[in-house]
Amino acid sequence: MDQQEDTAVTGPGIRFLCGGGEMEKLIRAYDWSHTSLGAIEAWPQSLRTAVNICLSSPFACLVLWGPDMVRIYNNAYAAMLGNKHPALLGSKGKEGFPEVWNRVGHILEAAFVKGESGNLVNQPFMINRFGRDEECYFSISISPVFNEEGQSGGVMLSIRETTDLVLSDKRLRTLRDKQLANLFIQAPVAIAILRGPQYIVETANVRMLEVWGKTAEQMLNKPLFEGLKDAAGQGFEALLDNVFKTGQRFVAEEIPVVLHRNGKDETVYVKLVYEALKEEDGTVSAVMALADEITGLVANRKKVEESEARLRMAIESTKLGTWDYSPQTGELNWSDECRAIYAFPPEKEISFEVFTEHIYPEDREYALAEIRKSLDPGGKGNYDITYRIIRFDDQSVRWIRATGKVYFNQEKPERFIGTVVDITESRMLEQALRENEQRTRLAIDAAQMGTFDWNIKASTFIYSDRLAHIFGYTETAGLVQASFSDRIHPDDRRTRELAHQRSMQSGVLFYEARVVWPDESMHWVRFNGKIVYDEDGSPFKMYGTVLDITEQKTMIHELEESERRFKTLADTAPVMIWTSGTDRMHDFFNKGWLDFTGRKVEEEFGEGWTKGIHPDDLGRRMEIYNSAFDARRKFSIEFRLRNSEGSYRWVLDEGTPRYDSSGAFMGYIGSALDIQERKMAREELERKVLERTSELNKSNSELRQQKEFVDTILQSSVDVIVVLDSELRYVTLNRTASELYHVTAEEVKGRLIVDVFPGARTSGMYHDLQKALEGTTVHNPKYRSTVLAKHFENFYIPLKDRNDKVYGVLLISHDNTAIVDAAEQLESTNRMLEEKNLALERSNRELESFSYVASHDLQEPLRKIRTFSELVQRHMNNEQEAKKYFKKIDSSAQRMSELIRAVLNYSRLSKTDEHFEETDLNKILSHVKSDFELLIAEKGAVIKASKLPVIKGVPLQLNQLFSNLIGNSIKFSEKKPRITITSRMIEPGEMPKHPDILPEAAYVELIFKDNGIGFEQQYAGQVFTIFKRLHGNQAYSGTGIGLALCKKIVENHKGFIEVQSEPGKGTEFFIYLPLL
Amino acid sequence: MKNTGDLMASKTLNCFLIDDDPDDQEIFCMALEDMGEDINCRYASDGVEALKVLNGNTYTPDYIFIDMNMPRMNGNECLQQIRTIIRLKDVPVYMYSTSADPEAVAATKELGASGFIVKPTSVAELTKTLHFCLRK
Repeated sequence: MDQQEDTAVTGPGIRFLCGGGEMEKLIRAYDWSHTSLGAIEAWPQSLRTAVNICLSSPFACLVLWGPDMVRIYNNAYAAMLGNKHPALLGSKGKEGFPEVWNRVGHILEAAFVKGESGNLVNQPFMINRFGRDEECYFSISISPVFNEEGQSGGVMLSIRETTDLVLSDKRLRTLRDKQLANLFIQAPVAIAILRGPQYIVETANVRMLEVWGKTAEQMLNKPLFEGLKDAAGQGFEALLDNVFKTGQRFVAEEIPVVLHRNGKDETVYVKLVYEALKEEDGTVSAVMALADEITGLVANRKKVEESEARLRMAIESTKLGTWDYSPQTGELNWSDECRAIYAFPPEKEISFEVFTEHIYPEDREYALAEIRKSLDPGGKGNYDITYRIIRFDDQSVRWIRATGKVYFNQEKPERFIGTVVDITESRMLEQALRENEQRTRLAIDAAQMGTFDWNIKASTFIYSDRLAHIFGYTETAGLVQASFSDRIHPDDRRTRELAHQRSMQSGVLFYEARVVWPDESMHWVRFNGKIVYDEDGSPFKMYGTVLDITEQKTMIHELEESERRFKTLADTAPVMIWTSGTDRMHDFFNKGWLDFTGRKVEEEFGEGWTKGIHPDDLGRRMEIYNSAFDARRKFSIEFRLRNSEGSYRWVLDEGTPRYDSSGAFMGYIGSALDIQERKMAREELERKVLERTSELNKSNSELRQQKEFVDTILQSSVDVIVVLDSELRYVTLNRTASELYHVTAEEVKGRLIVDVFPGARTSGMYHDLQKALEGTTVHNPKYRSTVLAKHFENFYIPLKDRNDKVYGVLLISHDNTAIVDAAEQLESTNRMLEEKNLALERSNRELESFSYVASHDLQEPLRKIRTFSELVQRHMNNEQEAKKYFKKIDSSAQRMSELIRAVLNYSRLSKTDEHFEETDLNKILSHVKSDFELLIAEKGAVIKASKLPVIKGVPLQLNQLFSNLIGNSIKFSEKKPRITITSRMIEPGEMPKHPDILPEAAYVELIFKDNGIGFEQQYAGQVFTIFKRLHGNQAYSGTGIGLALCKKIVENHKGFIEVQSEPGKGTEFFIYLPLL
Repeated sequence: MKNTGDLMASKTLNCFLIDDDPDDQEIFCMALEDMGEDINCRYASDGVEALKVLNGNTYTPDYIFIDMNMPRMNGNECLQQIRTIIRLKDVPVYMYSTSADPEAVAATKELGASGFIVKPTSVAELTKTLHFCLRK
């Protein structure tokens, strides 16, 4: 490149290539003969004009010429291309830039073919220009260029990269929806709000603080010029005052300010806007300062200016060093100038190694490689490189350009001669230039500028299509200057006039004005212009640009709005809100906060607010904040903060890191909530809980003691104690229960009583338990457990809770088996006694009637004896008569003795102490038969008997029974007595109905049947009555006791006797004796 | 036999004794004879036999004596039956027994007995008692 500069050729034919900087040189040097455009000298006028416009445009401009669409572009365009430049120069359409062509190629081709102009706004492209794909936005205006024949010769494009604009617009939109505060913080410009006539710095974003070179603490809540003392007295006060008073915006494109930054005074260049912030009533309450530091830009420009001067000097003063090197011998000769460049002292010996050492390490390999390449016999031996060296004296780094030539002898490098020159200055200049260009580009990239060329003298006004578009014209042809000035908003025409007047003196035009489009939409437009003067010093021409700055204006407006909205929002929020910046310092407190602390916001800024933290909490608060801050974590902490009344209150402070839309950390936003009451309530609660806990513990231990006491009672109780729940599941039972039922409390706990004792369901106990569950206390004094064969006195006591709801049953069972048994014994004894009493009574009654009857019957023979004795005396003389009466006396006496014997027999039966023994009735019968042997023989009686059983009985009585019955049968008979005795067993239930029957017992039936005189059946009830005789004395003798005796004997054997008789036919006695 | 009283002068008295004991019949007969009056005495050995006689309509005694203790039908029953016979409604009926239980005596009065004679231990004593009864 340097070579091209050095070898720059300017022929008359290519004079149109002017003012194009690098591109001018590149276009000039480019071999166009290989393209469809042909050699540059032969280009048609139309192409030359297009290229001229292109190169002279401060904006990115591209010419696509010919059907091939060959590219020619200017510096601004090149700067946008990244590493695609310079290869793109001279390339054809799609070939050179496929990623762009794919999107817009068809529009460009259409523009070429049809001669149509077009306009693409904010078109997104994915372009690789810095080694990576990036999303870029471009606005492109396309104009066809016609050739001399009036046909389409090519297309001219004005390109403006709007990436930043679009992205910031996007960001803005995001922000509108998101946290408004961020907008303020992340605004791409430095912003500060200066409140009141003191210009208290209410808010300043990080960028503004950077511009100021101060910390938030230094600046916030202080008058601007107190914090920024260094800026005082530089005229800003007056500017601000003016804005504050008039409400008019102040804009300065480039203002130098001397600020004390980084420990020294620096001149800073800023682009400055002061915007009045008006209250609703229109009064100005604050000024918003927007600043864009352009120091770098200005410094670069100044540097360029300085560099230019230095370059000239450098070139003038450059000493060309020469050197001579013999590769074969290694001999190296340096001229003094050469040594001076390296700052080698004259005595220092220079070898190739020394030379190598002083090459800047990063460049060393490259330089040596180039040298080797030059020494290669296959090459041309040309040597021309630029590299850095390290000077011997101060070790400073210098840029060196070395050129040389190798001379070969028989394919061997024989001599290598060359020059060396220090190009550090120009190298730096070049760099500075490039940076400057880039910055300038960046500065104007964001613009979509229209351009004009106003010939003041000739009153011609040449304008770009873009300019017409900016003014709202769609048809761009045939417009005059007035066409544009007419569209300026009437309120701004005065501004324009003044600006123009000023420009005549200053040579620079700058103003902003509103342009009203035909559709009545308003567009802010910025005008920049520069006057070119005649040789005589009078203004001749003005070149200028016009930029639609509506978006920026809107953005500023949006920022104001956002800030205002944020503040309103924050101030009306019922919580305390703060924000902090990346420096950890708190830079915002809302009204809620300030109302709480009762302090001014300027007192609170930075770390000021921490003075309100309770000393005991301060360390903790800051530790948590700082550690959260380092980790970018959310935090939440409770601490005491002094309120406006000077008392500490608990607040809950919660902070969240905030990020801008690009993900960059912005600091924290936090909220604090007064939780004093809550905290107090909680502490009170905790205290109460503690108190309650200790009470509980105390009562628990009391309960435990009580429980132990109760358990002891329960366990030592001799009564069964069981507790069941509302479903009759065992809750507990005591030792007595456990021993009695052979279950342990652990085994049955939780089980249903009916599961443990299936029989319980049908027992009375279950019924009583159910009743107890209904709430009734049940007392069952006589409960008999069939399982245990025991008697209990049971209490079923419902267990009720406070609401009287039954939750279980307490069962207390008192074992009174012994008492019950004794009572039963007593009862049965009593019963026996009663029976005995009854028997005695009966016996007494019988005895009574017996004694009555006996006295009567015994009196009779006695009476007769006395009467007959009298008659004997009366008939003493008559022996025969006397004998007769003596006989009667004897008979009566005999009867009397019979009676006495029978009575004795009968009375003996009443004694119950006769004991029962196995008695064989067959033996009894044979005894009786032998007793009656004489009578049987006398009467010729026949006694037949079946086999009789052996029964339990009293043998003497049974003997009497048989004797009486058989005796009767023989006695009361007119013919030969026939007596049959039969017996049979009778099973229970088969017995004839009888009141004295024992239902469970088996009986023996004995039947005595005779063929005697019998009696009417109606007398059957009387025959067993004592002293009842059915037959007169004369015919049948009898005492009237026999059958009564029989009945008595049978009854003594718990049996009964019945009789069936018919006069003349015979009698049947039925005797039933139970088998005991 | 000679009349010893005015009242029996004109007529022979008919006495009907119902007693199962032949000894007592003989003793009763001796006692009547000892009275010296014209008394005709008839006997029945039990109530059943006596009622058969009385229901026959041919014999209307002047006095009836009934033993209390008899087989088949005792004295009280016999008395009840006799009292149902209209013809005999004015005939005095004396109960005649060995023992005289006051309750039993009262019961016979209820049933329409005219008196209760305890069987004596001597004939003379019985004669005296019968005197008293027949004089009424």
